[in-house]
Amino acid sequence: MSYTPLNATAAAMSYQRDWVRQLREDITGGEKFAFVNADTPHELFHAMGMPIVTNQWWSAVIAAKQLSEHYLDRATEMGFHPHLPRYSSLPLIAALDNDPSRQPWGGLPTPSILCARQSSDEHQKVFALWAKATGAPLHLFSAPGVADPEPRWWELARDNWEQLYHPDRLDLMVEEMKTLITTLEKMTGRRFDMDEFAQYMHAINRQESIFEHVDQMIAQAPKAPLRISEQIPNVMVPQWHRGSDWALAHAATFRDEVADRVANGQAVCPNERIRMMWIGAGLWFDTDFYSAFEDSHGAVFVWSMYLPFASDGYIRKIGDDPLRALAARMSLMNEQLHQPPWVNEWLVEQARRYRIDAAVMLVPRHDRFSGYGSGFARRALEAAGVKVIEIWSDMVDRRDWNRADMQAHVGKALDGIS
Amino acid sequence: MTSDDAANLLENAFALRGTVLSKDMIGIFGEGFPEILLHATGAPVTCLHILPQEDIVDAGHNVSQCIEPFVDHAVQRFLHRFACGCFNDLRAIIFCRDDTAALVAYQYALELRRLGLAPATPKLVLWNLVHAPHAHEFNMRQLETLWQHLGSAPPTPDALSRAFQDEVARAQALEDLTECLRATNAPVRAGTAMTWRVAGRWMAGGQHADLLRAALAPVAQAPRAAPRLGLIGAAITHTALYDMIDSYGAVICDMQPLVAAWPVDLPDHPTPDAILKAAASDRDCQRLVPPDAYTDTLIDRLLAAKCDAVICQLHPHDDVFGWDVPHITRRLNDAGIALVNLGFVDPVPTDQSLAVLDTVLRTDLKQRGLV
Repeated sequence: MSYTPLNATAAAMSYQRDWVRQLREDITGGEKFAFVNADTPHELFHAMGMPIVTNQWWSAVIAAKQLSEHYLDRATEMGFHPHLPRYSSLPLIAALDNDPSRQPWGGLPTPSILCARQSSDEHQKVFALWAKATGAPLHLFSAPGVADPEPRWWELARDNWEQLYHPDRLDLMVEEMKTLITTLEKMTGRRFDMDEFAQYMHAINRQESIFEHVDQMIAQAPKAPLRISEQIPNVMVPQWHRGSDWALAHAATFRDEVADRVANGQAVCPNERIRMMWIGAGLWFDTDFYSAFEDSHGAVFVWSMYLPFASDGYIRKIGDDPLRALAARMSLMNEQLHQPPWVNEWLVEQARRYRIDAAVMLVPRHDRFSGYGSGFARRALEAAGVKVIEIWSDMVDRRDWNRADMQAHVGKALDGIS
Repeated sequence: MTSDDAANLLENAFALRGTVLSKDMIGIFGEGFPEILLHATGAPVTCLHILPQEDIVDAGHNVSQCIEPFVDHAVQRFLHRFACGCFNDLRAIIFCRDDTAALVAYQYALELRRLGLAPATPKLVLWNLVHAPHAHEFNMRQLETLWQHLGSAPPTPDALSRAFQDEVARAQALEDLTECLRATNAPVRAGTAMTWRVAGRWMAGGQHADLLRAALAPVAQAPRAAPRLGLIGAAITHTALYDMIDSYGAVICDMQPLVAAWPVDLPDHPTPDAILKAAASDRDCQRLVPPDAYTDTLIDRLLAAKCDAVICQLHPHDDVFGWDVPHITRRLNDAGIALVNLGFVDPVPTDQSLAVLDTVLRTDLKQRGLV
């Protein structure tokens, strides 16, 4: 079965490659950059003109270059035990390994600032080690829990986020963001402009609204018009540059190309019989796995979290306090994707919207933060009539991944549906 | 009270581990709650992350289906009991968010209840203390919310002062217990010392201090001619593991989380404000900001105790402490102190797994000339 990739995918990848190349040149020339976790307010760095590299993205690149095996073995040699989380630590290990020639793109120079959120317990440890190794200052955002959480969070997140995320938590995060802004002002010599920032936040909302349109088109199309391996870069590269002219333009290009496919009845798998969702982070070292069941079972991965989360996770009413709106976007970002009651309720809603038959759920036993809530999600999806197939593996560690065995495992479960 | 009577009471409290619950009792899951505030109100408090040894399992298997195998062992055991209604009569359960397991316990308990898989009582309260100096205003708001949840008035200044003095006495008695382990004719071994320390989880400070003082009364202070050992890593309550370690030396610096003493470096008449500040800067909390403060404190204490060797043991699903182990190892080695890493230790070690650990420990200490 031949599949034609979107033009937008190559454009996104090309843009990112050029951007990273330019970033590297700039950094080598003395420009500052920040190394940040995915669930931190990137918007503040963008607003202050400081480029960022995202920890989890860099981890995915390392895994995609088939380097995780080397670095995770090195981690053990360095004295880190083998049950520690991997997704958020692979870049640290690569940095501590101190051999840039082995790293993707010749490695990353020393960041000027590090930023993480204490959402998962290991984040502060990983980033503290990085700070110790590089001397870069570390800005940590706290992550207080949410008492009495609202399960159907996406129904409140856009307009009623004060109720959803709680005023005390938002107050604290705004204060912590102001501290970061002060630090960035000193580092960059620039002044934070709240009016400009408000406009920027509106631009991000427009971008995410475009993605919401794409999400609706794909969900409602009779058959999946593109693979999730294409959804992911077309969403995540613009998310990296969210709110920029390029990101909005690319989101629109992506939308138009998907709309054409839907209008023309183009399908990943004309013989589509089983619609699947991929639950969890990407399988970064083996993304071809996503298309492994199209010929054999007519089974297509039509959903991954990155596209639908663009709207539910990002669009926030700005009002007259853009910093508070940003806090509402960030203060529970990761938790909503991984912890009960948010993750199970959201997955069931998504499965309903996308007419999902089967869910393949990546359960990383050593990235516990990402694995929590899997049991509740499985239970909820099964109650909603979705076949759940668990894969106990890791998003960046291919050492315990046997492609043939995993394909047989999923294929056998799909046989039952066929 | 005789020394034996006191020891029996301590060991009995450890064995019962809060089995006896009453309607006005408040359960606490996780490390880091300033219990002095509750003791000062006169509310009885029980610890729910150290449970009796026998398991109570949800017979309908609903809980098992929802809990992943990598969820903390203490959380799993708590959730089964929670679903079975073992805590129905409590006034409330407080979960300490900055304990690495307690947030999961809170979220899973709430979700089991929402799904109808657990009873509707007791009230579940999230204690959101942020361990960072800038978060004091936030933390004070959490305290106000807590009193509302519990339907309690805050303690009076006098009651708080008395409770504080009790905590100071407890801290001193725990110091005395450590000292006694260094003695040649120490009346207790490390396993007993751990049980006496942990027994305080189910007592107010004054009672715990009185029992410890009485139990320790006949101790002589001649130094014990044995390697001075430190212990770091996972939370453990297994006396046999302690006694195995004790057979190679005196555990004079026990830094595992369950035996930490509450910080008492405060004025004589502390206010709730001062107590929250002390709790938020508690250097035994792994989520403390800045993160190095926790590790540096741990290393400083091991160095100050002049340990000959430090024994490290890890929870199989640890995702926090392990990041510090290489750094701790280097710092200790630089000071001429050996770190013996036992690796992963089962939450409930078997005789067989203990025998393996014993071999590892003996071999390592022998190679270093410490036995």
